[in-house]
Amino acid sequence: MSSLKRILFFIKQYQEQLQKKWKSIPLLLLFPILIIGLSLTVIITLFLPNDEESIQVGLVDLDQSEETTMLVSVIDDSTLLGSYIHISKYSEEEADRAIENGSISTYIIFPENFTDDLYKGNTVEISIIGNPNMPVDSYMIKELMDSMTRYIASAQANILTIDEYAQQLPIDDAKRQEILMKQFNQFMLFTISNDKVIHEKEIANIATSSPLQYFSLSGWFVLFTIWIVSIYILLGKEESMSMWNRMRLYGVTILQRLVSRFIVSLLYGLILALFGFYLLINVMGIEFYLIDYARISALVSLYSILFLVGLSLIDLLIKSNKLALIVQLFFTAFVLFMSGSLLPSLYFPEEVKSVLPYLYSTETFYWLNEVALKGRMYVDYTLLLTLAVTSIFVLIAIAIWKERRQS
Amino acid sequence: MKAILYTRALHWSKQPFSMICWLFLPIIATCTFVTIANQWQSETQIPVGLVIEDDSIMAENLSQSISDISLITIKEMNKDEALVQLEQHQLDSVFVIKDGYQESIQNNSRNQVITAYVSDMSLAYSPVKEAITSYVQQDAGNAKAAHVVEQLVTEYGGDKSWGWEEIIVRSKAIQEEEALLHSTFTFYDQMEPEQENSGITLWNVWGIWAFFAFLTTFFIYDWVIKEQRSAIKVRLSLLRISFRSYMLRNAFVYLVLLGMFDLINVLVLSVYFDQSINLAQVIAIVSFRLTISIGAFLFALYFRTTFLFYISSILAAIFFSVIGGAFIPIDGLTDRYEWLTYASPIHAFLKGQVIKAWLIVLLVILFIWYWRKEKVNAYR
Repeated sequence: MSSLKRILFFIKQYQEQLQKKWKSIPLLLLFPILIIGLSLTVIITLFLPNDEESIQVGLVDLDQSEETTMLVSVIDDSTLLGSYIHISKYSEEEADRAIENGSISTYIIFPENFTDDLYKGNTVEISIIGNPNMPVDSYMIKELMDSMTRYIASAQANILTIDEYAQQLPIDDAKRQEILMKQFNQFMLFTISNDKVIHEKEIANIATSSPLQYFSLSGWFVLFTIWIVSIYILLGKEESMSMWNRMRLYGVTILQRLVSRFIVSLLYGLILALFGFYLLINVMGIEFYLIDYARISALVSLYSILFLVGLSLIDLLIKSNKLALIVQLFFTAFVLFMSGSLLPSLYFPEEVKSVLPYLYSTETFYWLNEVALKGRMYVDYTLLLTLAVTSIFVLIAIAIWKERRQS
Repeated sequence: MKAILYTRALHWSKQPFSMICWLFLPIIATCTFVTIANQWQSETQIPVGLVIEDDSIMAENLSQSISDISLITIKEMNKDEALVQLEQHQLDSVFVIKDGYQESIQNNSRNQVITAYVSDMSLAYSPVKEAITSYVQQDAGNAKAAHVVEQLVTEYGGDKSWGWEEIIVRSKAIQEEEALLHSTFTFYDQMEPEQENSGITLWNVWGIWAFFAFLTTFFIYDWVIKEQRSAIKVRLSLLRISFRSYMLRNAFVYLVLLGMFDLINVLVLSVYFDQSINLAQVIAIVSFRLTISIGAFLFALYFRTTFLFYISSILAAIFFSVIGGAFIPIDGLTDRYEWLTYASPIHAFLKGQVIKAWLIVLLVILFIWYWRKEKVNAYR
């Protein structure tokens, strides 16, 4: 009984601590929003093309044969993929200078004797030089060029086949060259129009989630996880050994302090999380009934319990304050990533996918998704409940063991 | 100065393991992070549904080669099931090989032989589509070549005639035997071409190292706060040098220590990741180290408790790394807002600048701190 009284006492004390630090709380709570917003802006500006500038690519023709000159003059100053990629012709020195002052992101070199080697079947190598200051653009152009060269390589094989058989037929050389030239052009067209192969249909199911909803939910999930961590860390305070000794004279155990810190963080975390969720639902205009809120609160509480147990365990097991803080940081990042909110868990490697059903963050996020976005009426709490209960027992056991060790 | 070195060494010898850990943390963390990220990327598998409505040999070969693609995991099923799973977002996309595939290819009409179904959450559709298109294109190309040869035979006569299959087999053989067109990719300042599967171009090794270096520097500089505890501060009044000077000399010792470990870090990183190291980069690293150490020193002077200091340094590290483009390149943002390049010392480091605005500003603040207090004390 006295144990309970002490827990209540510490809860009150933590509450007061929180109130004393009330000035830093808004900063702490707003900070994750700021960081998430910044990261999103950075990612979006990375993938969306800049309105004024498209990706600039240079073309250097060292071969100067009839075919390449024709090809280059056709492509020069043209745009691919709408106005997304802009190709221009350069000489080699001009291209080098353009990379140095950053006006093009990559340039492509057609080596000497390109066409001759192509016809004869010798090794031909197209070099792509990228700008180290624009890695993403260079990478995209590299991928594009890689797939183009793959196509051209197969076209080349086919032309060589035709050539081989044509040589065995009674055709004179000039005529054969003309035929090959025609085939070369035809295969070029064939290659460039390769997107005709696939007929695309998009399925848009309004009942299931759209990317916007999915990522808003994951944003909320990340946000309230960070809030829980922040409140938990804010409540921490290192106490000197003398203070601990004095407290132990009164019969205070590590476990009691731990439990009260746990409960305070849990309560405040829950309030913030549910408040955020309510905002989210209203902004997105999803229909929600009271029973659904109850389900969400149950899910969120189980998840928070498990998460806080993890954090407390790290605190218990690691003596150095600095190290504990860093490990908690990594733990949070790990939990968030594994939950599938940053990258849908569909895209994880196979070995990881077999472990996923046992991780509580993945499970939680999956069920949150189901209830919130897909309108499911049923949640299977078994895994989360068992994990929560087990982890609480583990926590109590380790706390008691640590207490024994200290005395 | 020797005395200060001696006292610091005493201090470190009390916790050698902890100091070593902290000094090596950036390198260990960066290596682990980049290795895991690369491993992850190379093992990512995208689940894709395949529906085969044609039962010709060509369709079977096609499905065989598609399932050999390492990027995707093929799940064969019938169409309705596949569409349902696609709607539930358990599959990324669904590809249907339509009935009559072989005939269309052999008749040289390869348009729209495959139907693809995508949902609005299909993030990986483009690379998968590329891969499958290339296989179909190969089949179609071989068939086209065979077509042309047959046409030539009918046009120019001759007593030769080759079977359709024979031509296709020959074409495939040529594709394997002959060394055909390929492309190589290098960055402008690198000597060796990148390997096919190195995903390093996407993860900025230096950026991640900069984040961890920032964090650990700030954490190591908590000695400033510990020195300022009133119980210990009393003994400092017995020194011959002023308090400010004492702090500055200690800061210098730490700076040299961190600098030495920086060089070790950089060596290990360059060997591990095949990055080229030149003099300009080394100077940029030295300048970065200087900036961060002075920043950590001044920042720590502001705090009374280590606890708040740790939290604020974590927040500052995350903030400056995101703004500086350590994790994700911020080129898109800096194109629009030029002033952002000045917002973070990490950004300047990543671009290889030696003299940075941050360095100058921090040096100025340091001088002001050092000289101002002296004057105040002189009047008392």
